Formats: sequence, C-alpha cells, structure tokens
Amino acid sequence: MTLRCPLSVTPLCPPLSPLSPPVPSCPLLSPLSQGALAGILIGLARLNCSELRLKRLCHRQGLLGLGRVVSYAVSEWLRDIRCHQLPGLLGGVAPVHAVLQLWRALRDLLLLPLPGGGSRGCHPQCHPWGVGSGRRLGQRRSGAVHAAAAGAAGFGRGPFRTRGPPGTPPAPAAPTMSSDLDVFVGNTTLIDEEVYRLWLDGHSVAEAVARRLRGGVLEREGTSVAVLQSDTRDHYRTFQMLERLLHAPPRLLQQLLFQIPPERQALLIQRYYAFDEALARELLGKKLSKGTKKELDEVSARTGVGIRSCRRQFDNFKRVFKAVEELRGPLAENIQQLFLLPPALARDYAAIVFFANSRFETGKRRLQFLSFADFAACAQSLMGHWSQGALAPEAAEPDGDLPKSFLQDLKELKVLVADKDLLDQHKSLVCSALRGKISVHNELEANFKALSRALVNVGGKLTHARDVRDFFVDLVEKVIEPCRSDKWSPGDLRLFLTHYTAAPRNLPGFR
Amino acid sequence: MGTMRTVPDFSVVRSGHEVQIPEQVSVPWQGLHRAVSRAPTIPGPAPAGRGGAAPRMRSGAAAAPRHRRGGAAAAAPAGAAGGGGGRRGRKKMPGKLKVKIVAGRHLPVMDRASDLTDAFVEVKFGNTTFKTDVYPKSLNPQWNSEWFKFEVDDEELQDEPLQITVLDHDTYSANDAIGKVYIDIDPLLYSEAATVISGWFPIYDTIHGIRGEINVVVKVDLFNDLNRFRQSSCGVKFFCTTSIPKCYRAVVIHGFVEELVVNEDPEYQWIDRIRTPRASNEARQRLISLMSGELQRKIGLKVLEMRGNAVVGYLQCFDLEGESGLVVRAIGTACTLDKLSNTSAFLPACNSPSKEMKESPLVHPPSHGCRSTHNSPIHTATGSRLTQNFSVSVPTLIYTGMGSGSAGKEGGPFKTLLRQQTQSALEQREFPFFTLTTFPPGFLLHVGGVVSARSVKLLDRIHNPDEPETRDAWWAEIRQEIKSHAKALGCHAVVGYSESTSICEEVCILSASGTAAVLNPRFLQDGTMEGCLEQRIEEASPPGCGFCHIPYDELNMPFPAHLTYCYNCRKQKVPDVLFTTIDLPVEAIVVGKGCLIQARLCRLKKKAQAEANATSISNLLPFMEYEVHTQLMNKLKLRGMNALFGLRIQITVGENMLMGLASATGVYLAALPTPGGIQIAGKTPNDGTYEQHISHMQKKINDTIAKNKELYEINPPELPEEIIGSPIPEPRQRSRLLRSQSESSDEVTELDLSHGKKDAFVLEIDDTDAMEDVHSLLTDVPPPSGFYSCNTEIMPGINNWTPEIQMFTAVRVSRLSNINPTNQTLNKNFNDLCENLLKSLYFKLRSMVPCCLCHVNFTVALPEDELVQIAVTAVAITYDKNQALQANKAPTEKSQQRASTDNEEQLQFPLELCSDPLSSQPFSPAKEVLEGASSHTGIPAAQRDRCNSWIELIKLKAQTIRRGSIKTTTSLEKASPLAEGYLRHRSVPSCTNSTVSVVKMTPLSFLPGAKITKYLGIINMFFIRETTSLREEGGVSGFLHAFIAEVFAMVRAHVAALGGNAVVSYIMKQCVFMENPNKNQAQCLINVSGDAVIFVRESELEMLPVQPSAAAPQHTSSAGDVTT
Repeated sequence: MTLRCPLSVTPLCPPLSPLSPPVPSCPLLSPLSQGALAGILIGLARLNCSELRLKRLCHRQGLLGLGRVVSYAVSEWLRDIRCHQLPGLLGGVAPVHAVLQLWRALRDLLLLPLPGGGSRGCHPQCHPWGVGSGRRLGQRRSGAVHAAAAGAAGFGRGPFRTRGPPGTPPAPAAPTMSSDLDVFVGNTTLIDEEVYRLWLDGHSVAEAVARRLRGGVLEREGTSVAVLQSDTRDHYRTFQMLERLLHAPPRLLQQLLFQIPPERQALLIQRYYAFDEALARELLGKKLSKGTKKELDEVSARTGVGIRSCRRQFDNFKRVFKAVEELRGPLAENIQQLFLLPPALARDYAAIVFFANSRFETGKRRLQFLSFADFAACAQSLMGHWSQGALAPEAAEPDGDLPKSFLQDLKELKVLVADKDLLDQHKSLVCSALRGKISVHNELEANFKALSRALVNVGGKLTHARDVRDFFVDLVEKVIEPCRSDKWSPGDLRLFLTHYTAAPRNLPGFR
Repeated sequence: MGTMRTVPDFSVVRSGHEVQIPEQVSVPWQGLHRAVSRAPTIPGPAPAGRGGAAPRMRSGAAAAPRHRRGGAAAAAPAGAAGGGGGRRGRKKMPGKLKVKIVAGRHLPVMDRASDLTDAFVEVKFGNTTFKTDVYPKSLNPQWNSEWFKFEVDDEELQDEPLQITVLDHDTYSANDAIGKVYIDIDPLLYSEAATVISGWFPIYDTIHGIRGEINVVVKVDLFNDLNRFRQSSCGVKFFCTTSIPKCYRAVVIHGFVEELVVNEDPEYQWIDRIRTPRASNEARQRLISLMSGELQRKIGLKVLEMRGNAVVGYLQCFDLEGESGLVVRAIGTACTLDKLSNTSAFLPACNSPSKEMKESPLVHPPSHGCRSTHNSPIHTATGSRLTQNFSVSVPTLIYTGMGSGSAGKEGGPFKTLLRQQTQSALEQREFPFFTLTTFPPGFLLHVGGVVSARSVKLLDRIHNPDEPETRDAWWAEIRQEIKSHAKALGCHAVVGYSESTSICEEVCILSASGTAAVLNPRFLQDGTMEGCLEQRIEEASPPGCGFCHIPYDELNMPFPAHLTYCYNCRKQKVPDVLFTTIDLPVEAIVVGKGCLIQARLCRLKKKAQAEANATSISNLLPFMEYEVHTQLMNKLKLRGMNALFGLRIQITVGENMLMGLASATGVYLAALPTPGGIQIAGKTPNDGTYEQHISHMQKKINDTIAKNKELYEINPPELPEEIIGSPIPEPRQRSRLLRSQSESSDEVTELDLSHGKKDAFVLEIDDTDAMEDVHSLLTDVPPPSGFYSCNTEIMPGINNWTPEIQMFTAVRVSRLSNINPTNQTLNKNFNDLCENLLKSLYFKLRSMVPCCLCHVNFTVALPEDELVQIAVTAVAITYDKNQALQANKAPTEKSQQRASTDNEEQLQFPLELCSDPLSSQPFSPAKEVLEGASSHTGIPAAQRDRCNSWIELIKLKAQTIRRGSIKTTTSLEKASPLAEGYLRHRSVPSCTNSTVSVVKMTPLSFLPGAKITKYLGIINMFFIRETTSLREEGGVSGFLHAFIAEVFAMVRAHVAALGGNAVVSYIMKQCVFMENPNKNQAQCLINVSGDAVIFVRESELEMLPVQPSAAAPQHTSSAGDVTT
C-alpha cells in the first residue's frame, strides 16, 4: 500500500486501514456507520409522529442502506474514474481540465486504502489468471499468432487445426502413425492446472497445445509434440467428463467416478466458477436469457474474453441464478452452500443474481465508469440493508427481491423536503456541523435543498419497478454529477452524508 | 484325499502355540448350536449327514481354528471349511443371505415429462427375486427397505453373484432398467474377511455406463456345520498377490491348483440375433460372473483336498473363443496360511528364539515351545552341527562345499540327496508349479532359468460344457512340457509360473512360462513345516547369491553355458546371465539400479485359414522366441547388466502378423560376472566407408553402455582377478546373434545363448536388416531424469519409498498403416508405439518426480488388421531422492546395507505385531493425506492456505447437503479388533474429508509406507460396455476413457463397501476393444482383479525406529510381552 500522492489527507480516513480482501463492505464506508443515517431517520420519525415506531426501525436500517449506497457509489466512482473514465470522459473536454486535475488528486487520495494499487484487490480469488482484460487480449492475439506459426511449422496441419469447441471430442491427429485411441486413466485423477486454465479459457486442443509449447514444456521435459497433444487431449476429455459434475458441485464431492483429492476438487470448482469481471460487468443487470446469450459474441469482442469462455461463464451465472432464485435466506450463503464456492466468489455471484433479479440498469453510458467490483459492493450493501432477510428475516420472500413494503415506506421520507421548516432545520443542522470541515461548504449551503431533494426523491421513487431499474442512473445523475460539478471531494461527500443522516435525529418528530 | 494324517500334524504344530486347543474343539459345536437356535427349522437332511461325517468334523476342527485364530469374529460366519472331496447331493439352507436396499442418489432422469424417476429395485439371488416399493418422483429415492432374506445353499452362495437391478416404474409400458449392480458375496463367506458389505455402489448399465448410485447392505448368516456340504469350499481364502500375503505366514506351500470351466458364449447364441445388445451384454456378464464363482469354488475344493486353506497367486483368465465358446480358467498356489497378527500367543513363540539366537546362537530353541519334538531327523542333526537350531540339508551342502574349497563336484551327492528329498515332496504332484513370484526367505534355493512352452491350437466348438476335456488336455500337455524343461535344467519345480492365451479367429496360442528352480522342501512337506524359522536360512546359506548358483550338474549341462565361480561367495558356479520370471529375491545383492527392458518384435504372416494358418504360426514361433531373446540379451548388455527378473514374453497373434513383446527388469547381480560389451563386426571388411560406419556404430554402442552404467549406477566393486577355473574362450569366437538361422530351440530360452564369450558379445552385421536392428537397439531412450521403471514389484536399488502412489491404466490403439508392410517397418512402428507410450507416461507423471514406475505391465492385442492395441497398467511410486543418493554413494557398503534391510525384513512381522494396538496417533491422517496430496499436485503453498479455510466450509456444507445419506463406515462396525483401531482413523477423515472414502489401487502386493492389516477378499470383476453413439461419447478415446474410469470407480466402490481402503495386486487381465465407426458403435470388455485390503499408514502406527540393530528384536519381543 504505497502512497501514490503526497496530497493524502490521512486524518480523514483513520478507519480506512486496509482490510483483508474478503470483507464484505468496502472500507470506505466505515466512517458512515450507524449514527449518521440513524439521524435522518430519527428526524423523519419525529415528523411522522410517534406511531411510526415500528416502522422507524425499518426506516433506520433502510436509510442507512441508502446512505451507504450513495456514498459508496460516489467514492467508488471517484476511485474508478482514475482507471477508466478519466481520459475518455473528461479528457476530451478542454474546460474540464481543471476538474481533471482535481479528480486525479482525489483519486489518489482515495486509492489509499485499497490494496493492490486500485485494481480490484477485493477479489483476488476471482482472478485465477491474474491478468487484466487488456493484457489478456494481447495474450490472446499473440497466442493466436503463435498458434498460426506453429501450424505453419508443420505439426498442426489438417484435422489438428480444425478442432471443435472444447465440448467436442478430439479428432484423430498425429500425422505419422495414427493413434486411433489413446487414453490414460489414473486411479487418482490427474489434473494439470495449466491445461485446466486453457480449457476454461475455451481454447481448442490445438490452441492449448500451441500455448503449452510456447510455455516451454518441451524443453523442460524433453518430450515430443505428440506426447503433448496426447496429454492435452486426455486432460480435455477428463474435464469434459467433469464438467457435468461441476454443474452441481456437491455432486463432484459425492461422485465415485473420479478420485480427486479434496483440495483439488475445491480448486476445480473455484476455477470453474471464477469469472472475468469485464464480462460480468457487461452482463450485470441483464436478463440471463437466451437472447442475452446470443449477444455474447459482441460481449466477447468487447471484453476480449473468448467466446466459449463467455458462454461458460454466462451459463454459470444462469445456473446459479436458477438455483437460488426461489430460495429463502441470504443469497450469498445459499450460493456458497449449493455451489461450494469460496465466500468472496459466492458474494460476487450473489451480486450478479441480485442485479439480474432486480434488473438494475447498468449499461447506460453514464454508468460505464463503474466497475463490476463497484456494483458488487453496492449490491452487497443493498442486500445487507434492504433485503428481505436483513429487514425481516422471517419473511417468506426470497432474498433477491427488494421488499415492497419497505420501498413503500421510503416514500414517507419526502417530508424531509416537502416540509419547509423541517428542510431548513435539517439544513442548518447539517451545515453547522460541517462548517469548516469541508472545502465545499459554500456550495453545500447553496445546494442543500437540491441535494436533499435528489436523495429523497431517488429513494422515494423506488416503488415502481422501472424506477428501481434506474436506481443507479438516478443516483449518478441526480446526486453524483451535481456534486462532481461542484468539485466535491469524496471526503466531503462522505462527511456530508454522515451528517445528513445524523441530523434528523435532532429534528422534531424524528425521535 | 490324503487321509486324515494331517490332523495329528496340525495338532502338533498347534501344541507349540499353547492355549487354543480347547477352543478349537469347541468352536464348531458352539457354532452349530448357535445356528440351530437361530434357525430352528433346519430341513430334514441336515442332521442326517452328521453321524457319518464325524471324522470329517474332526478335520474341520483342525482347519477351522486357523480362521478363528485370525481373531475376527469367532461367531457365526466361521469359515469352517469342509474336509474332503466326494460329491454329495444338494442340501438347502446352510446360510441365509440378507440384503437391504437403503437409498439411491443421482439417478438418471427416466421420465422426460417430469424430469424425474419412479425408481424401484429388484434384488435377485439364484432364482429368488425381491422387489422394493416404487419410490415415486425422485432422483434420490429413499427405499429403506426391509431385509430381503434368501435361504440358499452354499454352492449357490459361492457361485452366484447378488444381482441388484434398479428400474424405473412405468404404468403403461414395460419398466425401464436403469442399471445393475453385481455384488460378489464371496468375501462374506470366510470369517477373517468382511462381515458386511455396505456402501454406495455405482449403478452400471452396459449401454450407458454408470447411472447414479445405490446404497446397499448385504450380510450372510452361515450355519456352522458347513463341512457337511461337499460342493462348497467356503472358507478357502483367495489372494491375487503372488507372494505370501503380508499379514500371513506360510505354514505349508502345497502347490499348483488349476481349474477350467467352459460354456457357450451368449454373444454367439442364436438368441443373440433377436435380443437387445443390453440383454446380450448382461447375459454375458452374468454368465461370466457365475462361471468365475464356480471356478473359484472348484479350486477351493481342490485346495481343501490338499489340506490347504488358501490360494495365493490366484490368476483367473477368460478366453473369449468366439463361436467356439467361453473358457474361464484359473491357476494358483495352494497354501496353508496362518494369520500373523493378533495372535498374541504366537508372538513369544516365534520371536524370542530369534532374539535369543542373536545373543547366543547356541541356545536350543525347543525350550521356547516353538520347536516341537516331532522334528525330522535331518533337522536335528544339522541343527547341532551348525550350532543353529534349525537347518535343512541345503545349507549344509553349501557349507561342505565351502569347507572343501572345491566346487560342484563334492556337491554332487548332496545335490542328488537334496533332489531326492524334494522330489519326494513333489513327486506325488502332477505339476510342481508355483504361481508365486516372491517367496519366504529360504524357500528358493537355486534358479535354473526361464522355461516356457507354447502351442498352437485350432479352436472348435465346445460341444459339451460339462466336459471341458479338450481344453484341459491342451493345458496338461503344455504343463508337461514345462515340467520336462525344468527337469532338463536340473530343477524339480517351476516358480513364477503363469499361463496365457492369444486368440485370433479360430487359432489360439497357448503359452506357459515359469522359472525352473530348486526349492527348499521344508515348506512343501506337512511334517517339516516349522513356521517361524524362515529367517534362519540365509544365515546358513551365503547371503544373496545362493539362488544364482546353478542347480544343474556342471558336467552334463543341459545346454552349453558359460560358467564362472560366483562373484560373491566364490564357491559355487554361476551362469553369466540369468533370466527369470520371478521377482528379485529380497536377499539378492544388487549393484546399482534396475531398469525396464523390453524386446519388441513384429512378424508378418500370410493370411490363411485353419490348419494352414496354424502351421504357419507354429513355424514362425521359434524364430520369434529366438529373436525376442536375442533382443533382450542385447539390450541387457547394452545396459551393462547381467540378469533379468519378471520376464514376461507375450506373443500375440493377429490376422496377418504376430507380435512379440517381452518385458523384464534388468539388474546387475553382484554374484554374476560383469557382462562384456557388444562388439560389432561387419561382413564385408574391405569396404572402407562401411568399415567407418561400423566403427561409428561401435562407438555409439560403447558410449551408450557407458552412459547406461552411469545412469543405473552400475559400478561393481573391483574384484581381485582370480577367476578360478573359468574356461577362457578363445577371443575371436563369435556368435552370430542377429539374423542367425534359428536352431530348433523353441522353448528353453536359455538355450545356446550364453555360449558367447564373456568380453566380446559380437553382433555380426550381414545385411541392412541387421543394421537396422542395431539401430533399433539404440533407439530405446532412457527415462527422463528422476524416473526409473521396472516391471517387478520392487525396483532394485531403490528402497526408500514415500507413501505417494498413482496407479494408472493407459491404452493405445494405433494403425500401422503401411501399404506394403515389411517386418522392418512394422518393427519400427511397434517400437515407436511402445517408446512413445512410455514417454507420454513419463510426461504425465512428471509432477511425481523423483519416482519409479513399478510393475509396468504391457499387454498387446491385435484387434483387427493393422491395428495394434497396447494397454499398460503400472504404478508410479515416489521415493526420497536424498536417501537414494546416499545409499548409492556407498555401493561398497551395499552388501552391508542389504543385510540390514534383510534384518528389517525379518523384523517385519514382529514390528507389525507390536504395532497392533495403534493407540497413539501422532498425525491426523486427514491432514496428512491432504498435505501429501496437495504437495503431489503441486499447488503452491500460499494458494493451498487460501483454499483451506473454505475447504473446511465446503466440507461442512457438503455434510449438511448430504444429510440422509448413510455413512459407509458402518460397514466396519463388525471388523476385527485390529480393524477397530483403523476404524477410528477412518472415521476421522470421513467426517472432515470429502464424502467419498479414498481407495488406493496398486498392482503391487504392498503399499509403501503402510502396513496391510487385513485382507478382505478377492475382487474379480468383469464388465462389458457398449455404445451405439460412439461419436457423441467422444469417439473411441472418450468412450474407453470413461469406461476405464468407471471400472476403477466400481472397483473402489466395492472395496469401500467391504470396509477396505486399498486394492493390492490389482491387474487388468483383459481389455478387449472393438469398434465399428461406420455404425457409430463400439464395445469393450474389461476384466480386473485384485485383493481388497485395509492398510494403516506406518506414520499412524506407533512406530518404532526401525533400527537394523540387535536392539530391535529385543524391543519387539518386549512389545510382544506387553500384548500378551
């Protein structure tokens, strides 16, 4: 965790100490805990009179969630702007140059707590290959080139080149003496991690052989291409047979056909269900239907993930979705149980399922800057605070849906902006609390009403499915972009939100 | 039947072991009472047989305790073995078979509409069938049936398999079969093995493969008066292992048993035209299962007749003769075995003498109770002379030889004496053959050489399945030939004996081979079998070289051989090379490491019919034998070695060619002379370039020899050159070894091959063919570094095995697509095929380096024109490289070290005994397994750590998901007290580890780093798999890959259900693959066998440091006292 920028405002984030990767909530959120959001609710409750006691509890948690989501979205956006957005979004516009400068500074500041210098360090386990999509693209290309070269070199002629998808059996090869049949079966199933990866990436046997050649196996082991081919084919066959079992991982543990040591089984499952975040980002919020599957070609082209790999990952998403759709209880736990995934991966799948279920719009150009990890964190917050399980564990509805009654209740927050007195009180409380603490105090004073209205409106609208879909779009449009144009720093926004949610506690009617 | 003489004999032996006699007598009666009380309605005939059977009861009593002493369950299913021969009428109800169907899981979807299955189960035994209820609409049915009880006679019990059929209930149409499970209940029929079979079995369908699993519990209640039933041989134990099983002691090794059963092959019956492939396959599987049950029973009867109680080295084979029928034949070695462990009384009796002897060799053992006064006179006499308690005439002979300082001649009379003695032991035997390849120390005295015989037969239809006389006669003929060959080598016995066939259309080659040997009569005669004295023999005989000494008379040798004085003891003559089919004796002194040597040969043959075909084959055979032998010899020299062990020559007949594949493990025996190099001689010495070429070749060969010597660390200690009496042959004597016209020799491979002179083994190149042969000689690529290979049980020169093993089967079918094939191109192709296969094995197993491929077993078949199929089964065992290096750095200390390992060997049993309690466990097995496995698989440690946390979680989850499934560990509940210790271990991993218990498989008779604590019974399975959608199943490779994996899975499941955790001596005896790509069809038959065992890791045992010092025996004896 190196400090990228001397500008750092460390005192701002004392609790930002780097947390271990698989912690569910983003470290950035920690300062926003409890009090602030409770405040809002308390304020609200006061307005709504005391009969809302029960409801208030819901509100509290709910709003807590909303606050978190907003602030998290903001901060994540800032963070991510560095990686993806900056050049594309701002770079082209001359007047924005100054803003750009600011963002860079902010981004660096925000980078602080994130391990691995900002690349989604939260999910190292999801990156079995450990390369970014860009690099992978490059690899693929060079791989293809190499394969072609290898083909030209003469070992991969004819049938060897025109191999089917990994799901199809290897065609007879070996030009000199034809080996019609060639199998190797161990009592303990041999699993070559390298070949497994190649298989998962959707390479054909020929491609896989070419890649392995490039890796220098031949020189290391002093063997021949034919041996390598036979070995690769054997592994591919094993994987094909295993694939059926991998579709229901508990079966892999129970099956008798392959004797695989437990940690190898775990590895197989984990790798099989690992996904490319770029792909997941593309598919986030989309309906996991046949139609979407047909579009995978484009997605593959955009993300640089092989089409076969895309299909496999899509099928994984769909399978997980189908399996947990109707189940009660926390999504991530259900997934973990049914698919035996490591916790972090299970949480990511939960996010995917959650998004696919609520069909949040994520594909808008406006939202392009948000990465999968950002959304996943949002989803976790949402599920953690708004979901049925979190709100009313005894409810019968599955966890993937946002509870209707709760969304209905959110509407009542409109008092905060509808009642003039309340609004003014709220504003003065927040502003006085923040005086001298944030750099954009003037802007805050000027825009408090607009901000507050935007926030409350976003929450209030959620009763309609359409609006739920646009939740993120609205947030960015109504809250984040105005803030950005006012040059708020994430710290400012966080502080503001803290106090914004805390203040209603002191408002009449919220207690 | 050899009268009742045995009975007193037994009691004599037993008397040495204190206690037990009252128990022996009482048990059968007790058992009978129990049986009666349990089933009061014994049908009429039952009591009738008793009176007349009184003497038999006695013999039963003599036999029974041997089982009982095994400790396990002195209760009901006592394997009270019947006494003698004589056939009797069938009697019902000697036992009751109980079956319970618990649950199924992962069943296939049989009803497309609902995506579910309405499954029920039919349980069939003999002619009785039970059905469970239909469990509607589930892929994981829970039948939880009542106990289905079959009242059966013992013959049925032994012959019939239990048939469990899972079906899908259809209201309107016929019920669809999902699949079947055949369970061989034989292991339940003797008391020492499993008492219950319980576990998940894969449901197997011959068309679809494995389709889900079913949980079954099987028990057998035997009534104890089984000995009245003559048809059965319940209680005889069968072992595939070709050595005395690890936790037993050989009391007597009786000798050869063989049997043969024939029947019509259902595949070729008229009805096959109208029934489905599935029905045909099932009929075939069932028939073979029945036949092998019957065969086993018949062999068992023969064993009982010989008064043995076990068959060791049991080898059962199927000959699919096509139209003419189906032959199931088996050979084995009848033995009387005594269980070693948990006989506390046995301990002091056996061990203290050895201990005391170490201290003062003069102590006379009879005082220890082990030695009875009934010893033979020879024994007592020699005993006093050698100041040792026990010895037979053989060591005496050698000692005299030493004393006189002259070789052989004085030995003459002794030899004849010995021969007379052993002959008397063996003469009443028709075939003094032994299928064993490893022997108790002292059993094997001299080895003559390989004897083999082949015969070509034309098959004709078996007309009467009950009279398999033709086939019997064929084999008898061959065995006679073998016997006479052995006699010619001055040997009275054949060890490492095996038989095989190769069938193509109507021609069949029968082959038999073995190693002529002189055995110690002590184990063969009932009277002189003094069990626990095996160890002493080496002390009398020169350590590690005795077996090399020639058994034949030097003056009238059966063939011209080149003899020298033994390089070890310098007293006896040895040949310059030694070929054997047995494993390297433990006591043998070896220099360096061994290696796998293969000779490969292809010969074209004209397509012909019937007799013409048979004639041309039999004309070719001698040439092939000769060339294979020459190749072996050349390759052996090329590696600088002088002996071959585990030699197996396989000649396979195809439509238009014959193939020969010989595999053996080459070693350098310290006792044998250093092999000379190979010298190439050209035929036309005047041609300059030719000469150059020759010299180039010569250089290459010399280089290879040097390299090989380095590779295999062959650097024999320099001996003072005082070779006495070795006839120095004139230096220019040449032997034309390649391309020579064959002499008529076709059997004794030792013939006329060792007459070349020692230093210059000359290859004469007389044509281009020969040139190519020399080339091919050099094409054998040594295994990559870190790999060694051998086809014997133990790799000579490596003894520090680590417990990691990987058994595998690889099958390759190649098309030799030459338009005009010549012998040379074929040879080359065949050679390449084998070499490539080996290479790919090395590559596959590269993560295990350093390791050794042991028991590499190649099987060649010629399924069609131009198609060659090679199947390899072997095990890769890792070893500790550092220790290995150390051991080899001091080759001079080799003998000393060897002696120490011998010591260890001796202590094996005591150690095993004192480690019985298994009480304290330093290591958690689960952990260890995990560690071991992951280190093997090469996962980086960091990653492993990361995984570990949630692996635990996964396990927990899996357990919750798995709720309702029955734990297989229940099957161990009734295991012997010994196994209970194990049970504890097993249950530990089973709750933390994955839900499927790990079953190890190995073709070896042992597991490195582990002790086998119990043999659970023989596994002998035959499967047929067929497909009509070959392409969809991934082509031929996909099909066979899945099938082999399924076979493994089924073997493992059966072993696990018996409560075992390993299969030893696993062998795939047959793999017949046929395809018809045009029809998108393929069929494959696989026959596998092995011994199911329970093993315990040595690290889990309370392990003493195995110090080859005098301290060890003391330690063990004290431990023994504790257990007493």
